[in-house]
Amino acid sequence: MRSLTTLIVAVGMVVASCALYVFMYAQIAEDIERIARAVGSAETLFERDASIRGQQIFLEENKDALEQLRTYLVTDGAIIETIEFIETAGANTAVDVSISSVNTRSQEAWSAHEAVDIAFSARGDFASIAQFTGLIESFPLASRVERLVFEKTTDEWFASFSIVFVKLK
Amino acid sequence: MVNLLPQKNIRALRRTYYIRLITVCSFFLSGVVALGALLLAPSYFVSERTADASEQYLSALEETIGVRERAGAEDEIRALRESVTILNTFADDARLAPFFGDLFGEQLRGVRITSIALTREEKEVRATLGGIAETRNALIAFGDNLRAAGYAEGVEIPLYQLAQDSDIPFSINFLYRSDAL
Repeated sequence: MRSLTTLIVAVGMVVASCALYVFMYAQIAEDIERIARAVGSAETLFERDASIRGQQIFLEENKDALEQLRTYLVTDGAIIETIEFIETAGANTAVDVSISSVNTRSQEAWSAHEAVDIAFSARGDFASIAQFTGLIESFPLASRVERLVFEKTTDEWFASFSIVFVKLK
Repeated sequence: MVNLLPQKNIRALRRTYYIRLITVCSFFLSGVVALGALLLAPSYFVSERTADASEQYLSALEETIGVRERAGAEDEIRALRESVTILNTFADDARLAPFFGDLFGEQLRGVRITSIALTREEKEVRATLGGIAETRNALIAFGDNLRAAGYAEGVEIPLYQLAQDSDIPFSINFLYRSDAL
C-alpha cells in the first residue's frame, strides 16, 4: 500500500512538472508573438509617420500654391459671390440675368467636393448674350456650362443656362 | 535458474518490482521536466518583460502619430489630389462660347437662325440649330458650309424638311468640336 502511494505521488509530480513546463513554454511563445506583433505594428507606424511627416512638409512648403489652387473652387461662403459674378457679368454685357435655381449635388467619384448647379436665364441682343457666355466660361473658377439654349423672341434673344461649379465640402 | 518460491509470492514480488520501477522512472522524469521548466524560467521572465515593454512603446507611438493624424494632413492631401483631378477634367472641357464665332463666321445667306441648343454629353457637345431657310438651295448650302467648316460632325438635314420650297423651318443636329479648327 505504501509503495502504491509513492507511485501515485511520483505520477502526480510528473503531471505537475509537465503542466508547469507546458505553461511556461506557451507563455514564452505567446510573448514572442506579442513582441513580433508590436514590432510589426511599430514598423507600419514608422512608415505611416514618415509618410504623414512628408505630407505635412509638402503642405507647409506649398502653402501659397495650394491656397492659389483653392481659389478655383467655390467655398461654403462664396456661393453668393459666385451668383454675384454671374449677375455682374450680365450687367457688364447689357444682358438681363435672372437666377432660377441653385442646388448642390454629390458626385459619386468625389469625396471632398460637391457640384453646385446654377440655372439662370439671360435676355438681350444676340451679340451681348454670346459675349456674356464667353465671360461666364472665363470665370476663374472650375466650372462648366452643361446646357445652353438660345431662342429668338420677337425683338430679342432669350437664353437659358445650366452651369456647374465645383465646391469644397 | 529455477525459482522455488510459490507462485503467489512470485507474482507479489513481480508486482512490487514493477511498481518500484515505475515510481523511480516517474521521479526521474518529473525531475528532468522540472529542471527543464527551471531552465525556461529566465526566458519566461525576460520575454514577459520585453513583451510588456514593446506594447507600452507601441501604444506611446500610436498616441504620438495619432496627434499628427488628427492634424488632417492625410485628408488634406486626399482632397488636394481630388481637386487636381477635377480641375484637370474641367480644364480639358470644350468651351461653348467659340461656337457663336464659328457659326456666324459661316455663310448664313438665305438662312435665319432662331434657336441654338448646346448640350454637353461627356466630352462632346451636341448642337441643335433651328431656323428658317428662304429656299431649299439656301438650306442645302448652309448644311454644306457646316460640313466643310470642320467643327460640325454628322450634319444631317432631314429630307422632310425639303418638302417646302420657300420659308422652310429646319432643325439640324450635329456634334460640335471646338478643337477641330
